Amino acid sequence: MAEIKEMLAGFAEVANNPKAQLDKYLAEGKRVIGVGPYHVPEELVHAAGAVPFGVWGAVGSSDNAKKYFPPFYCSICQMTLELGMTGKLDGLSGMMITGLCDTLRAFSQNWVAAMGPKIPMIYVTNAQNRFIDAGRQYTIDSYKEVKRGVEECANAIIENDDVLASIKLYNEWRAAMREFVKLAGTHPAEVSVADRVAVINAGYYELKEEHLAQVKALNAELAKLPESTAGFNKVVLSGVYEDIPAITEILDANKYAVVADDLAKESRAFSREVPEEGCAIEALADGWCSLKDDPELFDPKKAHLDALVAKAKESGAQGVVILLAKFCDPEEFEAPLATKALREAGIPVVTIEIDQSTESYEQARTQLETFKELLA
Amino acid sequence: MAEEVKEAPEKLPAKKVLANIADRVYEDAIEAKARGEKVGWISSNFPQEIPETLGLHCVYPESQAAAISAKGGSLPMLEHAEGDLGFSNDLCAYARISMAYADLGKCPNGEREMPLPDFVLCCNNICNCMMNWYENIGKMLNIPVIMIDVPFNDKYDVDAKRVAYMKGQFDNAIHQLEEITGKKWDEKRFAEVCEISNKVGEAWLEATQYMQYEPSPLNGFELFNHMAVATMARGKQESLDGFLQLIDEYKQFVKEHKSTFKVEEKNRVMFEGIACWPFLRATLHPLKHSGTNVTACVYGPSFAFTYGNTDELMRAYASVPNAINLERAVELREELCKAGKVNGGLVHNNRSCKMWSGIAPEMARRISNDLHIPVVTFDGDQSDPRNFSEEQYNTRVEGLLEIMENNKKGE
Repeated sequence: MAEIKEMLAGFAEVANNPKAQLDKYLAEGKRVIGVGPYHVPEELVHAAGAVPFGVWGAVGSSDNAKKYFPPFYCSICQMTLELGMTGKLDGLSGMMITGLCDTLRAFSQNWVAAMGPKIPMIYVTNAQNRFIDAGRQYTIDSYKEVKRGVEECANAIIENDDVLASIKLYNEWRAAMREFVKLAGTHPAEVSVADRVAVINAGYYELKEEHLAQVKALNAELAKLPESTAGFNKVVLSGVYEDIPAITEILDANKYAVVADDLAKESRAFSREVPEEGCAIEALADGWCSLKDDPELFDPKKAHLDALVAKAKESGAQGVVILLAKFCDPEEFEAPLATKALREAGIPVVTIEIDQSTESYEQARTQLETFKELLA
Repeated sequence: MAEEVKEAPEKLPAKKVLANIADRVYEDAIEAKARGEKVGWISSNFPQEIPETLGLHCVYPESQAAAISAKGGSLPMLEHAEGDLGFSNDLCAYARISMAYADLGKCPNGEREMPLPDFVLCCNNICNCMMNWYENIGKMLNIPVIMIDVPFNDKYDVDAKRVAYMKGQFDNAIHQLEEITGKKWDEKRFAEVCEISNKVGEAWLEATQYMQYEPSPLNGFELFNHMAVATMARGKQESLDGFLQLIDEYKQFVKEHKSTFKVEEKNRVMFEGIACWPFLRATLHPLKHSGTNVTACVYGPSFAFTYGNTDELMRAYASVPNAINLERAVELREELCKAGKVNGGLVHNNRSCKMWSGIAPEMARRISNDLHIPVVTFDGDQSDPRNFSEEQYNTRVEGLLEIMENNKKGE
């Protein structure tokens, strides 16, 4: 147990100090490229010998970025631009930005306007109609451009074999993360909600080979222990992110155990399997095209709703907590339908609004205290 | 017996002709549904050439929501979407009204009825919110969702990979619609539809360009009404006839030095953003009161789809305002401002529209800096009356007028 605690402290150290990680890699002479939300083929960055560095905003207030965004805007976009404008991302050689939603689209333009050549944008465009040949081909063509952009920012030429090696590593890492999510869910006495977040977030700031080794070691220790869910309120988290310290504190204080998640920054991001042979660019495109059950992606039959219900049942969750990211269109369109689907399946559900710039979560505390009693 | 002399029917003004065309789109769809035909809901910038060629009747939820809002019926529908259906009031008000309508099947006071769909045709070139909105309609009504995805273009030009992707989706959409409706694609009919659509696009653009005359022969707010036809009936001969009549009327007004802007035109401004439909009169009043006419508005080129071949058709649909990058968006507005000889700009910070409002502040700054004109913003909403403050709007317009007056004096 002491060893596990020590490991968890190591993850927390990394997760809570992203700037220190950035400075460390820069001091090692490495190129570092920012990776924004989401489903970005960051294997290309790794294959270029650079460090992919996750940037999903930060908890805080957006002051400078208000020059570009109206108040009714996704805090991830606002806070990422704020980080850039206030020098906290200095040292990045590029910033990968997708256009998966309206706010990301506008964010891409504001990033270029505010940051100019200081941290150039590598725009990642994907086909939403990814089930047809034309969508696959568009994504291949797009990823070829992304590869060029990464090469320019990383001062490197990316070879096919290098990408395939990175894909293999990333597949292994994603599998390890899926395993960790399961083990954390069955061992809440050892891995608190805050610990769980720290393990996952550390992966955004470390090279994957480093993070993988640590996660595998942690998984191995957790697997030795018996399950410890007794007395915990087992839930699935759904939404974009959970890494708001006030939220994790409330979840821990009320003895919630996250037995599975349906979060964009967590399990949805670990879900993809990428082929490990042939043309690496095509493989990455196939990885994208295989994605499903995701409200951010075109889902004409709303399969995500059934998948969420199935996840709640299969994980043995007593209920689902929807962490609804304020001003996130895809999630705000999805939440009422998800609530309906879960209720029809007899699964209790509560929706908590979150935002990186919200100062008080007392209403959320009350909601989660009440929900806990409902689950009991 | 004296021969009966029939008086020629009084010719309707273009304004009425165009309003009738818009009404007819809804009536035709209602009748088609009653006949047992499958009808669709379609987003405003979906390539209407596809359903028009197939002879499908489709109606436009965006136009419906605008009409409901302009007639004061939006609030009960928004409250239904939020209260009964549980949607956040952060979401686009058009989408909330549309989802409420899908659930209720009627308007509060019959503001703008239309048939419930058997399929939806979605295109996310105008915004990606459209994708989630139409997915929800598909789920709520258990009907197929057909989408043409137009990825946002961070570059200036529409490149070959985008054109190829859109063509693939175009074919896929046709195939899906043939299966759903049993109708068959006819290349000859497609060519006819493209030809008339081009002419309608050109006529609409020409009509909107009359606002560039000084003084303008039209009240710029009129475009908010006429655009319904440019949105909903781009592939129809009667639309062409209506716009050509409108052009004739504007020509005549220019010759006679007349205008539908009934006061002396002292200032000319760009209006940027979707209209505040619940407050059309309130937003027009302080402008008109001060002799300030709208002579530049992106709605003109927004719905003027012109092309010479299929590749150009794809490029046209990938070049609508919210699908283009900031440089091109600014350039588009600046050209309109110059042509419209504006001396100020008014930007609607529209809570419903995240894409548009997300680039509006920087766009406004650049236009102001490049053209040396004052540009002010106001907070509002295309359909949610709770997000508009008449006091703030009036104050912002007063501020704009003051700067424009000072600029005229050379201060």
